[in-house]
Amino acid sequence: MNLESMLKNKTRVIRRTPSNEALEKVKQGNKFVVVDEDFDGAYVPRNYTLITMNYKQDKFRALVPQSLLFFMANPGEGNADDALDQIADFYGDAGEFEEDQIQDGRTSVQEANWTTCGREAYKTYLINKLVKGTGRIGGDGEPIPEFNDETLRELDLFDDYVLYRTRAMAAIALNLDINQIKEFGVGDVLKHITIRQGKTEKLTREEFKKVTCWAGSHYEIKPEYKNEEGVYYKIDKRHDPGYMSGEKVTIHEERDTFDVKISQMQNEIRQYREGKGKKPGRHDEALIAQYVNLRHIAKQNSRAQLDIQPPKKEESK
Amino acid sequence: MTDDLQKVDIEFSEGDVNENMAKIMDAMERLRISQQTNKELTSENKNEYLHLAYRLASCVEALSDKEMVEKMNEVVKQFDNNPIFFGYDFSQDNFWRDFEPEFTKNLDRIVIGLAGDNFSGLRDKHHILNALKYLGSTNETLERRLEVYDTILPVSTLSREKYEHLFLTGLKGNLDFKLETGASDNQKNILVPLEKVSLQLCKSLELLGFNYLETIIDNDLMGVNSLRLNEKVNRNISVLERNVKQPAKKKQSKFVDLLAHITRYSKPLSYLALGALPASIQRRIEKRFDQSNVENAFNPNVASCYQSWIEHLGILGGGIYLYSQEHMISPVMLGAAIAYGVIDGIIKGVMMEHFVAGNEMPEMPVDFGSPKRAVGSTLLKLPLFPLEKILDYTCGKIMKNPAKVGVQLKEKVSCQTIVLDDFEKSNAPRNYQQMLEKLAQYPLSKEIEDNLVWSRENHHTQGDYFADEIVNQMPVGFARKEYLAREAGALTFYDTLTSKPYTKFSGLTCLPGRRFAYTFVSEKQEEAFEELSGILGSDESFDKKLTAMFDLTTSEYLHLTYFRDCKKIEDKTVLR
Repeated sequence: MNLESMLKNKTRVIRRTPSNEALEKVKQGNKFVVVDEDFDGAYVPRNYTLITMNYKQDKFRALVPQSLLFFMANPGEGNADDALDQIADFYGDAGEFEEDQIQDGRTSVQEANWTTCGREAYKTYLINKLVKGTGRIGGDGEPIPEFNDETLRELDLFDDYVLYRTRAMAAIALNLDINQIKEFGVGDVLKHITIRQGKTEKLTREEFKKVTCWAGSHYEIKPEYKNEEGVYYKIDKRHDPGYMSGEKVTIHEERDTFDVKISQMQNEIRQYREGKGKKPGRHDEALIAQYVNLRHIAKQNSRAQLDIQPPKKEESK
Repeated sequence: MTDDLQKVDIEFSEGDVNENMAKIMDAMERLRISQQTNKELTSENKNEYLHLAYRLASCVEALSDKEMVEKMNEVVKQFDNNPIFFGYDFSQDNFWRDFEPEFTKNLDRIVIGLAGDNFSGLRDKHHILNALKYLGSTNETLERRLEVYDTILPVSTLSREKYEHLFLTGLKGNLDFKLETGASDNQKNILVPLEKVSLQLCKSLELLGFNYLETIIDNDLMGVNSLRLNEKVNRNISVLERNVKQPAKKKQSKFVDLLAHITRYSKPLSYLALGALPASIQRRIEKRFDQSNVENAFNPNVASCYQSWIEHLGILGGGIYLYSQEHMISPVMLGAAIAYGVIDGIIKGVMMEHFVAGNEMPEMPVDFGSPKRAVGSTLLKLPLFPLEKILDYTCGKIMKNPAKVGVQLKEKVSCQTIVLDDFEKSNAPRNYQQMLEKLAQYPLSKEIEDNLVWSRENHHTQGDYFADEIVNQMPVGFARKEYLAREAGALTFYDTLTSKPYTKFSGLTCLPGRRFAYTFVSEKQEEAFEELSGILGSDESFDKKLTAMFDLTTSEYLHLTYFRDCKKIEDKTVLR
């Protein structure tokens, strides 16, 4: 008689310390270190917390700095600059873990929760930095944010050059038409172009032969078809009589519009500020974008607000 | 949470996942809107969108029960059957709804089922589909996964070439096809097996700019087959070529190569054996050998002729020999042998039409008819008949006389951009269910409750006092539409949100002492509140009411809660 079989079943290995790989990442200051196994609380690295997130039967463990945990658990509280830096670092580290997940085609609902919380918390701290308080209530019953002048000054948001461009960013995001943009007062900032809207059709062999002639080395469009009203032809010019490829474009309408991109406005603002001898901070672009959201877009169409992502680590260097 | 800050345990619920899912889709939508208005999508934003799709996929997977997974599987399988769906974009939802209603409907149901009370329109379809692409590719090779990830974009901007590449790579998995060059430079044709030809495939090929879908059918059954094909694809069909070789289906093994070699270099013996087999088996062997690396390994016509000569000469010679050997067989038997030879010869002569012993059958002109016909031994026909039938059943029939037909594909179909409903653009609250449940628990005096029931005293004021009390509690934004079913004494407050073709109804039906709060999503634009009040006011059980309401409203999703004396009694959700 013995209990050997029972003993075998009872055997289990208990990890006391985190893995070397995890410790190495902690040493590097990584803000999000995923650990596969549980370990003794006494060996949790200093200033870090081992968080086990349980979803149904599934456990997900990660080591995160205690200060970051505070910012994530109480969005808006504490020093906004610290919080922005820590959350942005965390988002970058979590993003690296996600890249491995994506490469291997895996999923993790708990990890998705971490990054989603990080993204949201980052936006909350941006608002905290930009706004002093909710201020007075507007005509629509919604509170009007009272901006922090000091932060706006740091971001050069009292400078007309920057201010006009932030308005232009809002105009683009709100998808305003040419008249609305002029009313918005930013028509001068945006490059004016004329768009020809038309229908493009591939030329059949017969049509190609009809509108072109062989010019010795390539096909050319016949003069009578070059100035046809409302229609123009584009052909591939090759030294190959058998190659007959081209397009017929029928113009439906011509309309005035602006050729603009938000990134172009952001670049102009960055270059302008650098030209003034200022080194833009790591979160400046996100702060300006959030300012545009709060100041211009949210009240008109909250769905059109600019998407804000925490910047990567490299951008700070 | 544990007391020790070194270690913290967090319980994560389905509600948290739901909340995250809404935030993730919101971020995805912002990237999409940003690309649409800004006409710009940076590589960083593409990466961010892929990460968001991964997060959404994680949430979707965590929230899905078996039934939801089955629905998702139906959608994901479509990517293999018709990889054109990789190019789905919500702005062309009307086009896709017309192009493949089943695919769109399944996707609608997934979105409605996952969003539940939070359903705020179909625009999330775009993002959910991208999450499904991610989930569907998890078991694929890295190379294939990367191809799928390329299609996970806030706005589908795949080029025609990319579509075509995806389409053809995807088709390779479950369809043998061959690309063919058409008559002119711009013409693109594709040759696919007859059994795989479908209307949906034709539509996809049209979309990719193909001119012809070609397939092989039996020339002898041209009339019947082309009629069936015509009905199936609803297109014009024309015969392109007769007596064509059927395209190879599978790569041959070395074993088949070896058999082909043996057959080729032992023709006097191998042809004698193989030529005796029934015609369909000979053609099957010919087809397999044709796909091997050995040329001219087997010709059933020659084998049949050779075998027939040998068989007839053998029977005749054997008979004469045995007859000459001291009458070992009777003259009657010799006569029977000769008669068999003659009858067999006539049958084969009729069947073969051309009888060229010992030589290759000459190649016939394309429109000559059907000269190539192998025939086996008449004696072996009967015992091998079951084998022939089994092979026909398991491997498909071998065409005696194949012809290539072309299905004319139309010009590329234009895509209609959908116009977003006001609701799609607005910032309307997504979920009224909680607010309605709160209202359902709002206590009112018996006198006010009795105001719901008709009496001579309140003919002109039935429900009015009750409505005044409830409406005061309703938040700004809720439409507060009312319907009074006088006979049932049921007053309904409701709001509708339309995201074509669906409408979300959020309602509170009040009867004396009983209230029902519900949210349902239906394709109906108007609801029959009289009948609905009748169902809710009946004495049937809650489950029966739920089923009856689900049928009446033809909902895709229904969430019904029942309150008695301001206390929640039942709360159930049903999905189609």
